[in-house]
Amino acid sequence: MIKNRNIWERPWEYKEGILISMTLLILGFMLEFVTDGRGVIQLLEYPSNLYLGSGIIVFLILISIFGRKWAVTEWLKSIPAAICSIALLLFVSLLLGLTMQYDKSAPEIIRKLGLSHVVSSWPYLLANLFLLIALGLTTIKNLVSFQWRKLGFIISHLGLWIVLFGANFGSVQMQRLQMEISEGGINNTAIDKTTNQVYTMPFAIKLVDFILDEYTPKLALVDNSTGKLHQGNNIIIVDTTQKQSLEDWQITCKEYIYSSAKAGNKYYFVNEIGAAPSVFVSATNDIGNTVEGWISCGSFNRPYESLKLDEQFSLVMLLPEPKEYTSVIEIYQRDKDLIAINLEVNKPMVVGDWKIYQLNYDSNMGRWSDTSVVELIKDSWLPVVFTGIFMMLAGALYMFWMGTRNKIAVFKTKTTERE
Amino acid sequence: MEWSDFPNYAILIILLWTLGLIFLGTLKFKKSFQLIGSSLLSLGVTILIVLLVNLWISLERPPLRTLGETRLWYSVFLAIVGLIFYWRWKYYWFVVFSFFMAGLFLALNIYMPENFNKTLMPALHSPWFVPHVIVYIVAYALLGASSIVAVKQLYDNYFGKSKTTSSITLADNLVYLGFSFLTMGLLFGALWAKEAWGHYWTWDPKETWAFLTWAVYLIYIHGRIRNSISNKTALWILAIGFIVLLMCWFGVNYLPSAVNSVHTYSNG
Repeated sequence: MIKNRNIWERPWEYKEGILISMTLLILGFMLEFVTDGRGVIQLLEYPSNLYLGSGIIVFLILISIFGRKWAVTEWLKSIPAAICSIALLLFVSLLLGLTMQYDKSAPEIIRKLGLSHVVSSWPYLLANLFLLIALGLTTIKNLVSFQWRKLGFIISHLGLWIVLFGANFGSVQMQRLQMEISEGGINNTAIDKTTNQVYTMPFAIKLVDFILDEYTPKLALVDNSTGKLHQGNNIIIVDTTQKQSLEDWQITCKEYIYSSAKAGNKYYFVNEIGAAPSVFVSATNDIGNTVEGWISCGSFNRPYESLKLDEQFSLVMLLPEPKEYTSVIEIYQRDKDLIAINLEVNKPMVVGDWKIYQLNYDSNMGRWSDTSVVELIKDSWLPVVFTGIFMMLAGALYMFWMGTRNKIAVFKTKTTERE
Repeated sequence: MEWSDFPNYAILIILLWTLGLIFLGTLKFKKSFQLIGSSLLSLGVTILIVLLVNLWISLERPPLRTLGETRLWYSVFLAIVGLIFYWRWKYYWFVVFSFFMAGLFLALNIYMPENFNKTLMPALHSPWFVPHVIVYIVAYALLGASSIVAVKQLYDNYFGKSKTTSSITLADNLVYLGFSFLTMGLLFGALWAKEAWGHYWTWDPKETWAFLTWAVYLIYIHGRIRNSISNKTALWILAIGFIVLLMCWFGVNYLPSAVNSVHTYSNG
């Protein structure tokens, strides 16, 4: 750091950096306020995102050629600028991390300052532009004066720049639609849930079958006075092979029927729509009181049944949680062969420009659901962002490898000095 | 082993570690005592690893879902980092602090047992699950260790003997390693999110705090180049960085915005 330097005297450092960051932040809030908290969504919509994006690239190249000697350009390529730009984005993200987003009940002023929609607000956009420019100029400088030992630096910095660029200017073009299909039915329209606009897809999907696999249900204590789940060590999984404890109670599951219906005061195995799990339990507490009875979590068309243990607690069965769900679907496209696949969570399927995801089902009906909701996503900028992500991964590996090697070398001399 | 046996094992491990540290510390001039100390510490770590493996088998899924489970892994990795750095560079205070923290996280699990249960929601059935979480926990262990170094050094500067900031090189070492793991964890998360939820980044509260954590350490790394920021500032960044990291790991679940988070798995 150079001492006794007046502010705005070359080379600029942290003082100037803090002023520039603060100015951008205040400017951002002012722009947001005067535009009545509308944010920058329109500015980033297609096609203006392309104009803004290419504008930045042209700007970076022109500045690198004609303005490289300017004080501000020199500073933008410096470490203080790197730190100030990261810190500004960090601060804006901190606002995002601390406030409720898209909260309708937020006070007017929160919305007007953009704090209710940080990622589409002016302060966020300006912070990103600042970082893109500082990072961009630094990367261009190092690309122009390429040396092999700079490879790790270039890969990680360029990777980050590409990710930021693609995510900021590209992801607005992403289309995210939902399609609901009934068993046996076929559908070729999907809806954008944010705008409620309906789109006709270039393909149609038929739901042949919907399969839901569930975990064994859990048993829990309910507070009789409040009717709420008792907090603490309060959940066990139905298991007929061993005794389990819930607070003062030893619970033995004597008979468990996954698919059952009640007749008289007993449950029997049945195989029909809405058949619910049930278990015959025996519960004994510390002073030797024993309570026995059937409990069931019920289903959309069966009532649930609980077992009162004492004045304080009742034992209930929780609705079984889904383990996996699969839509057996067929995809029809004009002039192409039919595609038959099983669509699962975490295993999307690519059809043309679209990626199809298993999203949801009729959770009210549980494993009896005969509708499946799939999500259809088209993100033409994905290859760009993924290129950046993989470059950053390579950069991280490089850092893991070289960072330690260099540092350990430094470290060795230190230890010798100590000894 | 069942989750219910955990307190006994945890107490045994903490006892072994305490004994080990005493052997290493009070009797550090004798080689044989050093060996006994190291062996006791290693034995504790080994038991903890066996415990984790058993838990994995008995839960029929990787024990990486609840905060309690991730704390176990954190203890393992922090202890290993402490041991390796001790064997290599003989920093006694460092091994004490890292084992103290590892023990603290074990103790937390005795007092706040997370509900042990076998269920794993469909979105977590993915080959990304294990690498994403393990890489993150290794990063957290290394970065946690770096903030131990920073706090110790700051304490010495303000209240104690040393006015130098020599151990900052040790912190650099830990941050470089930790940051590369942190970056991998973040990017694995983005790649997985694309497969599971359709988008690589949605500014979900956990993602926001993960970005904040990453940015703090990114500032540290840039600030350390050619000593651009003073050593003291750098050490403060590390100390604060760990608070942000803990916020990301645990704190997010208590934020009002976490209601909508796709990352809150442990309330089930």
